[in-house]
Amino acid sequence: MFELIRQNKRRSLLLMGFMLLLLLGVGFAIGFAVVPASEPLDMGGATLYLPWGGLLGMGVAFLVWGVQALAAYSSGDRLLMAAAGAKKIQKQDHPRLFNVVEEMSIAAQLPKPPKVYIIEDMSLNAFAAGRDPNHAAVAVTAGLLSKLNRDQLQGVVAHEIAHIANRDVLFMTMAGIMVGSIIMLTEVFFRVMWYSNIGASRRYRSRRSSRDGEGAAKLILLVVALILAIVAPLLAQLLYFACSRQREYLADAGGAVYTRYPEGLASALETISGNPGDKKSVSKAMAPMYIVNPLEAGQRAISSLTSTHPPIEERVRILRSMGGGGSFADYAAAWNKVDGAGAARIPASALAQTAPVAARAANAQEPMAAITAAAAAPVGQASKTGVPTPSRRATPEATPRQRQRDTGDLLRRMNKFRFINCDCGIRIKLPPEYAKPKVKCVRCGKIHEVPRQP
Amino acid sequence: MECPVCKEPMLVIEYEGIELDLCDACHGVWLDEGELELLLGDHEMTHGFLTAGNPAAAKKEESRPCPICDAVMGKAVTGGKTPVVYDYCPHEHGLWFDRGELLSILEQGSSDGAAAAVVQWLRHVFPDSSTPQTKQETLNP
Repeated sequence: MFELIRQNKRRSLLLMGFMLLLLLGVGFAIGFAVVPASEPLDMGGATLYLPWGGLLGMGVAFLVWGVQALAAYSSGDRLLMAAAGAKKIQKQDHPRLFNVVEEMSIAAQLPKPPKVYIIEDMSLNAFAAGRDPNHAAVAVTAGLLSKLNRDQLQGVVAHEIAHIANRDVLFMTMAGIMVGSIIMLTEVFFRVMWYSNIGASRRYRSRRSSRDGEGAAKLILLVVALILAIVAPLLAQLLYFACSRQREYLADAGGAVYTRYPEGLASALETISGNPGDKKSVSKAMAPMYIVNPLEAGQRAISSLTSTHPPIEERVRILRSMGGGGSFADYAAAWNKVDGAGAARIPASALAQTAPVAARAANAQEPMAAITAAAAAPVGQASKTGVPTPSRRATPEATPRQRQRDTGDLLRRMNKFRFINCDCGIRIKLPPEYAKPKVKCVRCGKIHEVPRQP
Repeated sequence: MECPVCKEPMLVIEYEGIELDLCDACHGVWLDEGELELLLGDHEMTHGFLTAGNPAAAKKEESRPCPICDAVMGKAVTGGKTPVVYDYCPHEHGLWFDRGELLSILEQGSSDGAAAAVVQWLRHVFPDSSTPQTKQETLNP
């Protein structure tokens, strides 16, 4: 597991480095194109021309990225959660969800369970955010809570926790900001090009004023700058999409491994894709962070090269082809079976590194069937670590109706509703605007005192 | 949520797992999208019955805003002996029934056990509600 994370980190750093180079290159090109002047610099006999315009551009490009990245990093999960309109909840607000999150963080060996947020939206989706496993959060929509059963919810939460465990969240945030910065810079560049008259300002100055050789070099550099400015955003996006897709597969694998029940996540993905819902106010930058891209939901025939998530049908097919196994190796095998090109996309080293994890998990759970293991594995580990996690069999599966009620009550509690239970079996839920001191039960006519605003 | 008729804050009533919003003042009932299906369970209340009435009957009722999105709600008229005019949100947020309308719909639109249970349920929740049909029943025993 740690090998996998380390490898992930290495690959992330490599990609980040590449993207940073791209960003600086774009900055340089733009700076050079806008201010092509260079200072002659005498360096021990040889005269170097220092393109200070390009260097300035590089500095600006780095600053544009750095400021945004710093803001996202220092705020940890809060900035993204606020951007998504998510609200933090406590354990008593939704014990079922908290149980699942705790179980899955133990299974993923996170240092502590992430914070839990709810998005007040009836569409089905979830995402994770945070700087590292110690500063992480998981957000699910209210719709997800009411539509998914426990196994499915467990699968989705495990997928998100896998993102946290794989250190995906920080990387995706940083890389996303970098793509955004590159796009921003090139757009500014093209606007500047449009309004300035680079290469056409011969009216008031002699073309021959600069030395001939330098002029040709400048022209070549200008062309390079232009090409780079056109290609860089595309390249950055492709890079970003490629590693985002890769991470989705890995998180799916985690979802299957932590639950030991791939079917949970598979059916959850199906339910989610069947209910695209209408999550409003999802920014393009945030879209790759959700378990199912909210902006791509609904469209089917999108180019796989430019999508942030692998097609759901394929993700489901891989999960269902795991043949009762619940390890990373099983997932890799299933991936290879479903998608011949899969082997090329999981490096051999990653496969080898996942094997010890599977073995260890299998040792602990060998005698149990996959499904009971899904329930028992986290519980067993929980009792060892002293976290009180009630057994799944002790709490019967909530009916869809009950789930919908629980979710509705959760949202109402978040919005400061007051609850009165009448002896006749009626439950009255009073909105905070209800100002009267007393309320009469519609059924038995009993007069209840309205509790004070919480 | 405010009552679309009298703008009072509405109470939420839950009984046996079914939930509806009730206006304390006018006893109108709001059912969230999907709540009618929950209320009816597996019972086949055909879409046909819910829209079988003559739309002309809806003309005289004034239009109301959806309590969730404020869009002007549409009117639908049920079939049956005493057609009921009720409101629906164009964005599918839910349905609005004036006092007694919901019970009347369920009593007319169904004859089988499941819906009878629902009617029982509504009678439980609103023991004082009186619909045109229940009035008739009490007049002609």
